[in-house]
Amino acid sequence: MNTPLNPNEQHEQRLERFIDKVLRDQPPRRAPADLESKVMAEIARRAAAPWWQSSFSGWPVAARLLFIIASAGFITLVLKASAIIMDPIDAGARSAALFADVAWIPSLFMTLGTVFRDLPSIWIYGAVAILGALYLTLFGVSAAAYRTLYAPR
Amino acid sequence: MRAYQDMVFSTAARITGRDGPAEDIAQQVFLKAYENFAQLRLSPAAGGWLKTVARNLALNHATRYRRRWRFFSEMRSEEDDDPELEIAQPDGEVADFDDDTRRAIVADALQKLPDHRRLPLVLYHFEEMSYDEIARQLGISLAKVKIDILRARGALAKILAARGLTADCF
Repeated sequence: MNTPLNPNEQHEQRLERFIDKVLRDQPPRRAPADLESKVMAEIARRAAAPWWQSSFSGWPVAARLLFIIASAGFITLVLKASAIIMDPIDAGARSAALFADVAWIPSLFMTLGTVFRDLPSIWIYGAVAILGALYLTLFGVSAAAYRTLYAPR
Repeated sequence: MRAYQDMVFSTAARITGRDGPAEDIAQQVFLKAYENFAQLRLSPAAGGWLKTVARNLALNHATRYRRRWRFFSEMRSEEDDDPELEIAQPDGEVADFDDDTRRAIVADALQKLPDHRRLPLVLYHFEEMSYDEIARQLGISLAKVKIDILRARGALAKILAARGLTADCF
């Protein structure tokens, strides 16, 4: 047995039926006339582009393997450089052995590490506070601009 | 492509609420279709596939955009929105509109709704998603979805009534 609807529910149901009818009466929006030509032009552009400009899955297998190996090598290099910065006692000897050809990388990390270690902490806090204030200002201005100029009313 | 481009563009435009992003999304949909041309060429479900991809891409765009601005766009919503529900009733004479004019008025009224009201309304009435699906998709509570849709209907009816469109016009 159906329980009778209260007036508010009846009102909501009538509203739902009305809006449903209004919206379903809408025909599909017409696509821009140049949509097809833009898609075709993009397909042609992609077909003409060299393989390294396509997505990774579109690369030749050999190139993908080489890229993965090179990336793994680079990550190892960075990790080893980081380890040297953490333990700078024999950094010179280790970096000479491990990074004969890229000795500038650990040196760069060491220099940066030294600079950060020697900076007064007030400078670091000040810089973080300034960056935070700038970010919030930019975010606030952007949000106000969006609300004023772009947001639907 | 010609057979489906209006459907794909409509889906994206209604969800995003903007023609520019909708056109970009429609392009992406057809580029994906091109990449999957071998499977789609003879499939009777090609239309459904295109609609699903268009809807997912548009929802990704809309929810990303919504998340970015939610704090600013929704903090005023509880006070600003009119909780009052109304069905546009004839007020004296019923205006006489031809179909094209009436549809243009409805499309314009829909665009006037704020994103956080329009999106659940569109998903419910055009995309035929359930309240649960909409809540999951938008990452909001079921109760909020129901309230948003109810208020969106009320606001839409109010805008339509102001333009002379009432239940008797349909």
